[in-house]
Amino acid sequence: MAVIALTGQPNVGKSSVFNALTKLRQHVGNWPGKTVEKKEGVFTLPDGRQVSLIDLPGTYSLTSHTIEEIVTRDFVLENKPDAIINVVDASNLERNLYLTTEILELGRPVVVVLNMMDLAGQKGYRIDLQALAGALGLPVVPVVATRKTGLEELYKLIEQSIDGKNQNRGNFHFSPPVEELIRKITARLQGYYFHNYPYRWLAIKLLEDDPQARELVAATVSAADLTALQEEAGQLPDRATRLAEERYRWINGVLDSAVRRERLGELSPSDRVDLVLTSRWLGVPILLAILAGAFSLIFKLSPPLENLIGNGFAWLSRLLESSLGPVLPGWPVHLLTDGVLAGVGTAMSFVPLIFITFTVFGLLEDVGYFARAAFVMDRLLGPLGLPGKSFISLLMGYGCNVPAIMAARTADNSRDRLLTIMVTPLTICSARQVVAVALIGAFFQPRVAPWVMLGLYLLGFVLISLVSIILKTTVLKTEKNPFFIELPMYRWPNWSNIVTYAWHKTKSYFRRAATYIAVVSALLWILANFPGGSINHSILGVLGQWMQPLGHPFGFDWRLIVALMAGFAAKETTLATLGVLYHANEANIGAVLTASIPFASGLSFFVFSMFYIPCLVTTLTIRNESGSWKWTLFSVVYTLLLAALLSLAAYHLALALA
Amino acid sequence: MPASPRKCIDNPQKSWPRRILGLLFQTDSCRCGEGNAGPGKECSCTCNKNHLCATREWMVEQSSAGVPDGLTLNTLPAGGKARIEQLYLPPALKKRLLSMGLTGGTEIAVINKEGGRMIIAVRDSRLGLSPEMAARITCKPA
Repeated sequence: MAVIALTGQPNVGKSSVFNALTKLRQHVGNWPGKTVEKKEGVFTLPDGRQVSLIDLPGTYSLTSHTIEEIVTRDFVLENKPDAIINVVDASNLERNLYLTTEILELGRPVVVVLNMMDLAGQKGYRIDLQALAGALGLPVVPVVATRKTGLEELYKLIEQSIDGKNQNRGNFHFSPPVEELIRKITARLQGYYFHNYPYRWLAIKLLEDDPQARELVAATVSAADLTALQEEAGQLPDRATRLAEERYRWINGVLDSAVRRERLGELSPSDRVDLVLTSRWLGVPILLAILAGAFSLIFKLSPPLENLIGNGFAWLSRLLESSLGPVLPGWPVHLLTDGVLAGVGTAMSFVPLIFITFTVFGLLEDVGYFARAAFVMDRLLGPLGLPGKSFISLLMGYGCNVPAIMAARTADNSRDRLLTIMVTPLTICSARQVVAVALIGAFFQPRVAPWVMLGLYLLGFVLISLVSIILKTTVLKTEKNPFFIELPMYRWPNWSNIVTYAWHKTKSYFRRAATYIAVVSALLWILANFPGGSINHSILGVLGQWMQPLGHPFGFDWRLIVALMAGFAAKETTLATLGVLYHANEANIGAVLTASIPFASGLSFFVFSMFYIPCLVTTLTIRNESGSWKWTLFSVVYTLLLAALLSLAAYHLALALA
Repeated sequence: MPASPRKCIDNPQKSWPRRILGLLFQTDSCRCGEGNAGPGKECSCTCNKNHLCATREWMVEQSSAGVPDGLTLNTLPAGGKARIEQLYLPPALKKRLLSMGLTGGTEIAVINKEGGRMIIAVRDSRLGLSPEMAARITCKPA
């Protein structure tokens, strides 16, 4: 099957082109060993041939400074696709063609797809397609992917590329002195074997001081040649800047001959909206209002669907009990229904929340608002060592930590992403909010309850700040880079893309979480029910009693320890476990806890349960997103220690004040 | 004091509470230690009786970023236009900005500037820059 690579800069509508070609028949995974999303789809050409389309990550250039750039260039160099479709935003041609000049150096046939022609028209651009194709030396096809126009011509060009009829390599070249230098370096490199790497490409990357190319060449060539290469490259001062300038000079020449554009600095309608949305005084209140609206929508739409799933699992559980009960002993049936099904049901109840969250936030991203939110929030998060983009994750964390951790993928680099993942569990998710409301109701007077809740959120914010400062200055130490972000033009949302995006996020959660959840839920059930048949005499109960001395400094008896252990499966189960252990039901649990647990112990338990280890699903999501058990363990250990410290302080303070 | 327009960075000596509060109350009109107005006016703070910034402390940037004296992007007002001269940034960041079109000689226009943060038009796109980033890009009048 022919393979076509789809490339382009971020926000050029690459996903729309991918969806239009594959008609959503796609598979999403990660690149081996990396947490960069890989989309693969298959489509059929008019002549009946099937084509595999690989959607490469959006990237501004092909240096080796980000994973996305390395993945893109390595894929093309190693897999040698039959053609590269380079999607460019017709309303932002000058910057988009920069990547085109780099793609041309990879030595594969290229087809340029001019997407968003409608937007370009609205911006007053007049593009002479024939002149553009002539100046670029490449086939150019205009497409409005959202309306699926221009696809027939694209199919034709793909067919030609697969048949070897499109041998266009573009007209791009550097100035004569630079070309001469490239020729010299290329000639020297030709004495060596570099596997998939074209000599000219390597020579250009050496001139650009590309770290990966530099290492590859240093490991391959002789010492004498290495010195000679360094001398040759050194003939060009400030090489990276010079080469970038020459690329843009060529692009400007192309555009001058083919495109009529707006004058620089003229305020577009998008700019006028930004004057309000990124304003110093209105920016944050507007952001908060938009997010309040988003969350109220999420929490209005999710619960009925969650109930539906919960009822579905309850029905399935009853069905299994009634059908297996007569033929099997009691415990395997209960293991299946109360253990596996209950655990999987809990994990599945997150599905509507995740889907709706990613739909709503996908919408904000698609219209271009997320970039503005990051720009506005960087001012406030910067002093905490967190990038502006972390704000979205932290905010989502107050709904549910799972999608919040998945959303950390928007971070600029792996360290920022890891930092965001590490601090997100300190946000009080909705499951913990349920526990908090019950415990506050049990241990505090109604008139102070709202202030305690507010104090809890403030404490969470202070902890996030402290932990991020500590991590940023120790294990995740990086030089703080000054902040910048591209602000794409606002545009109407593409619902098909948004729903597809949300669906893939949900599917990825479902696939990963469901497999672990079933096993761990079964294990937890066994620990809570064997050998005694009741939790008091179970392994978990005995373990709790055995661990009672550990709970002593915090004022915990064995039942509180067991409730905390059970809360690891899902935070909501903390309450259910307390109910079982203290013989209380939903109606009287507050009164029973007030009567059974001293205030100091109650306060200590409240603080501990809010900040100790993330729940099972969150922990597994941290593992998936960080790609590391070490960091997952770190997250579990540090939150446990932090909760212990706070709980200890709360307990002894309460005792002292009493 | 340098005669040319000056570059500013946040005072690293300042305590965290004051720094966070300062973020909320900074103004665009003065420089700490020099009274309420100066020829550059690119630093912003209100000075207290101890001649310290009572809001957000700014100070003249020293050699840390290696930016020579001269016009930098953060000195441009909203609506101002200039041509990029040089980027004084770590190599990876510099290459990223170069690929986004901030190459020498490129004309840029300041679309909006508030509290030191600015949105600039560069080539066909818009970039949001923090004051620290803008202070590391030298330019000349267009």
